[in-house]
Formats: sequence, C-alpha cells, structure tokens
Amino acid sequence: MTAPTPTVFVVDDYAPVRKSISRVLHATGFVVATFASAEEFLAQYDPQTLGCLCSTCDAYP
Amino acid sequence: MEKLDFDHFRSRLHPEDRESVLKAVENSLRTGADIDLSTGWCYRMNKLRWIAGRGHVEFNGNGQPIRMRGASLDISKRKQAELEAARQRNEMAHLSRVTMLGELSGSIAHELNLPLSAILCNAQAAQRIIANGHADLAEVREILNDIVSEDKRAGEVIHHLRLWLKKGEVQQHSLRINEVVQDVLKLIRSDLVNQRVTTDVELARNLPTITGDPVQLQQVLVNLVVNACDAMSNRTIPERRLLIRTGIQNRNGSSAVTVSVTDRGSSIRRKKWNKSSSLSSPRNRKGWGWAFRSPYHHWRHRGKLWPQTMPTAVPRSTSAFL
Repeated sequence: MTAPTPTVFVVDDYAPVRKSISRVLHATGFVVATFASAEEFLAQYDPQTLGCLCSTCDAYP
Repeated sequence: MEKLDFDHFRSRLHPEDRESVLKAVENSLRTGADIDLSTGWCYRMNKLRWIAGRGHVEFNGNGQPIRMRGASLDISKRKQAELEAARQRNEMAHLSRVTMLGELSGSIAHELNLPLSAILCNAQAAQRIIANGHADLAEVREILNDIVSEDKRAGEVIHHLRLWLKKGEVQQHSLRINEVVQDVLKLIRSDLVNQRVTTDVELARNLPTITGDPVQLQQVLVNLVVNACDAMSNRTIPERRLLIRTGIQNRNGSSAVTVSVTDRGSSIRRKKWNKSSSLSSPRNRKGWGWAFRSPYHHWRHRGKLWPQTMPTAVPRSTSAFL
C-alpha cells in the first residue's frame, strides 16, 4: 500500500483567492486540495493523509 | 425710471429658468389659464433675485389676448434660507458618510485585499509556470482573465468609495433597489462576517425602478444594517441572523417599493423610535441599536421609515422598513 501523497489543503471562502493560491502551489510542485470552508475541509479530511493546512478562515465553531 | 416691457423682462431672466417661464407665459396666452410661478418653483432675475409670480391674461371678445396682469414677489431671502438649509443637510450627510466609512474601514480594506491577493498569487503563478519552461498557454490565458476580473472588482470597490466620499449635490436617478442592497452588502460583507452575523437576503423579482440618490439610499441602508447588528451584539452567534428583503407593499391605498431589515436583537419601543428617527445622533453601540444619523434622506426621497416588532413566531425581532 502506498502512502497518500502529501497535500497542501487550502481553505478560503473567496473562490478567486483559493484558486490563485492553489495555482502558485501547483506551479511550485505541490499537490493541492481546496475547500470553501472549515466544515467542508473537516468533512473530507482523511487523517491518514500527510499534509499542511493553509487557511485564512477564522477558527470559530 | 426704467421702462419695463416683455423683451426687457425676458432678457433679465436667469438662463436656466428662461425656457420654463416663457413656456408658462405662452401656455397662458394660448389657453387662458392663470400663470402660477409661486407653487413649487420660481424664477431668478439677473442671477440675483428669486421671484415668485402670479399672472392672469385678459382676452378681448375675439379671444385675442390684450393684457396681462400679475404680481411678482421677491422671495430671495426665503429661497436663500432654503438653499442654505439644503446645503447644510448635504454637508451633514457627507460628514456622516465619512464617519461611517471610518467605522467600516476594516471591512473595506478586506474587500480590497481579497482581489489584490488573488491578483498577486495569479501573477506569481504565471511567473512560475513560465520559469518552469513548459508554459501551458491555455492556463496562462485563464490566469490573465482572472487577473483582469479581479482588478475590475478592486476598481469597483474604489469607485464606490469615491462616490461615498464625494461631496456632491443630491442626484436623482432611476435605480433598482435590489442593486442598492447588493452594493451595500459588498461594502459591509466582512463587517458582518466579523460580527458573526448570518445574513439572509430575499430580493423580489421584477420590482419597478425607483427615483433617488443611490449613494444616500445606500447610506440609509448601511445605517439600518449596522444598527441591526449592534442590536444583536449581545445575542449568541446562532441567534445573530439578519434578514434583508425587498418587495412591494400597499400602504394607505398606494403601493411602494420597500426594503426591510429584520434583526433578532432587543425590540424597540415606539417612543424611542420616534426620538431616534428625528435625531442625528452617533452610533449607539451598547444601546438598543437604532440611531439614525440621516433622517433627512427619507424625507428627501419621500420615503418612510417605520419600525415593527415581529410577532412571537420570530422571537425578539425588529424590522425597519424603508
């Protein structure tokens, strides 16, 4: 079994910012996954995946 | 002594009023109706005096006009006082917009930062794609398109700011109220997010256009929204819901376009409302939330502003209609 690819998770509620950050990271060689909200990220996040979270959202419940 | 005749009278009229005054005289000569230049408007002589006039044309038996009699009243003083009052109200409205923008500066900075960040990241992405040596032209084209649209968005924010800061005369435009609501939401979006207020917007379709000054209507609406948020500041986050709705309402036999701003803050008593809507008081953060800085605008737009405490179905909510 191969380990999942390390991924940068981008969470931002403003689509153009999300898209442009993901483009820069992608051009730099990262695998990127984008999410519009913290809830969306948490719902889809697999703790097995190695990764780094890039978020500009406020962390509130 | 100067001899007065019609040519002389005509030559002394203010250029801007000449056409309408002469039209009224012509109409009177044709139809025999009285000239009334006193109701609603008047004319200027020599750019110096404001005159209110009333006149009557007399006809002979053949229906030929033979004489015109009338009275002219110098109302320059009253007119100047009116103009001065209007100028002061405009000044107040401008001052309150500047104050409001100061309060919303964080929100506005955020609205500018979003497109600017997107532009920067897109440009950096394009630089890297090109540096990598295998540029996908389709992707670069898409990036450039996004840069253009984000730049336009930032430009719109600045355009709005300029309109708000401009010290201009009140404009009367034909406008759509839904656009006023959307422009206001753009301006205060991040202020609402920061205050953890969830906003529901229900815009009615096919509303007739209204006549008004878009900036002043935005100003009134921002005021209502800011005050609604203030009224909810001591509520729990799930309770902080704001409903902005546009529609048509029939009141006293005539229909009018309405905007309602409904919050779930503490409700307002009629007495306090009457006091608040007649005062130009500053924002009252801790209080009951309704503090109108610009009641003048409602008057100027022949609009009405009234509070309504909602029935128990929606606990503790107050609507303000515009």
